[in-house]
Amino acid sequence: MSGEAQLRASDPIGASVTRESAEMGEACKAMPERLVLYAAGELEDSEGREVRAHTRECAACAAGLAGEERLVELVESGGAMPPAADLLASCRARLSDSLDQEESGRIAKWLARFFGPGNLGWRPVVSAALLIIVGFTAGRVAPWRHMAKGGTGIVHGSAGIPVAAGNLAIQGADVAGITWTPADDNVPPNVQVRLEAKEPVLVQGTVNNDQVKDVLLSILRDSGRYRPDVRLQSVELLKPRCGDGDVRLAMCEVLRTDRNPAVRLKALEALRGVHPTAGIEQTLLQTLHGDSNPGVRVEAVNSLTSLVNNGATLASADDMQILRESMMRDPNNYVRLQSAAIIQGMQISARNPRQVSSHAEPQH
Amino acid sequence: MGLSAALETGARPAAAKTAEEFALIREAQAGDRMAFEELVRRHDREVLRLAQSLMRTTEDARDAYQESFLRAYRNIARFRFECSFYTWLYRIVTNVCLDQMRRRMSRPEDQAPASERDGAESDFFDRQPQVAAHANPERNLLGSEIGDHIAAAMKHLSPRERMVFEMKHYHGLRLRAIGEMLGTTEETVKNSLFRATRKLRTDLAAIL
Repeated sequence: MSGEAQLRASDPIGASVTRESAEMGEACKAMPERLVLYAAGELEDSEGREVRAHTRECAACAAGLAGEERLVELVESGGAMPPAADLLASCRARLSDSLDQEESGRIAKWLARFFGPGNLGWRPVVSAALLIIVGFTAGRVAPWRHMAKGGTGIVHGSAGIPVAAGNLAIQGADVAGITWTPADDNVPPNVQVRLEAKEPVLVQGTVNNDQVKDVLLSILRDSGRYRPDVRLQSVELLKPRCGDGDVRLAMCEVLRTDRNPAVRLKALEALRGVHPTAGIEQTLLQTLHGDSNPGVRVEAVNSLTSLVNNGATLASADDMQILRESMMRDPNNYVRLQSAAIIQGMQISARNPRQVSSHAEPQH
Repeated sequence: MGLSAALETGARPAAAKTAEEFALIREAQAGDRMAFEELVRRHDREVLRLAQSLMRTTEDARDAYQESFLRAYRNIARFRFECSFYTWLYRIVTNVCLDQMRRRMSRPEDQAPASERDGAESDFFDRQPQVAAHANPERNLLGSEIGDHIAAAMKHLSPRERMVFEMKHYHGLRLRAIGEMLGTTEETVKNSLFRATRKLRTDLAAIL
């Protein structure tokens, strides 16, 4: 066989296709594209029969078809694997967090639309009545709420000039220290956060004060900038406000990303007792599956046990996959046993739905 | 959804599943967050798989997953039941991935720094082993070598060629469906597949 014939036989539709097209018959000219479609399973039956008949007669096109089929086999064998369970869980947790934020954004937008200037113009009587009601309510309730929410929430610069707390995170201030003074029972402690910005700033109030909360949250959200003790204190102080969606999201983020196991443990502690959301469940599963610290995994599996005992269902295929992997592979004996207990509990409750919360005693 | 319910769902005929899915979509359109999350759970494995095969890094795939479902959530009221939810969702995913791939091509410096991080500073998720249920070390090793060759060859494809090729051969979609998802004709998709195949055969000649 000549060199050109060999080339044609080995690769009739590749780089050599243009050079050789003059020598091909009319049928061969149409073949390159049809071979690609045939190998991809995209030809009609009748067209497929024509291709097979032609390749029986034409060695060059037969070799071309073999090359196409090898390519398909190769890419499909080395191609896309199903996503790992832990990656999927982390994506779901992140999406759940974002959906929480979307929902609160929608409510805010709806309120803005309803109370916006256009609507006030359209419905003067209703708007006036609403304004009176809102004004009256605000006048009656706001002072009480302000006091209940942690006093004045002082935010002062060094010269005693008030500074907007919302700007503090933007300024990228460093935290010089956090101190708090314990108060009476059932009253949150008074917190002082000293910030080192262009000029020192002191943020003061109880954690019920939104400005104090925002500063503490900004510490958790930008955890790479702050010392572990500052992050630990922030988690501890925000613990009573875990019913708040922003705080809950920040705690989940801490649990997933903070480098310090003590801070992650503290976040786990803070999330305990909070009404479980899909985001919390996925974050706990993710922690159980992937946290490098055995103590954190032990606490994560305890929290999951508690959720299941309270009726949470972790029975999706991915949830079960994570639990099974923990049961089989976790280096820690307790984590393996507890994961097995959760799976067992889920299987029992799937069989006896009425007994959802009456079983799965923790194993110690 | 309980385990038994999930198993039952898997055994149901396609028509019943479609009707059930349409019911979920209507609930999601009415603002039911749980219904939307159920739709996510039904499709997100395939969405993430597509994003992973199209994007260069896990971080990019995660971003594409996130952005796709957020767009679906924001726009679900516009779903008109004229195609399957799967097609509609894949259209969103492909648009998100194409946008991201084009951005990456025009600004190659704009890459996620994930691979450059050291152990102490690495993201929690990046430290986790990629454990798949069907993990097989030998297959993984062979697969990774072939995968490296394929990944290198794929870089020579345009975003559209790459997407068409991957949707066809990694996800088993029909060219007509790919055309619908990409908002183009079947003929254009065929041309993209043909061009992609020629380039790949040239680049992978050594291992074919």
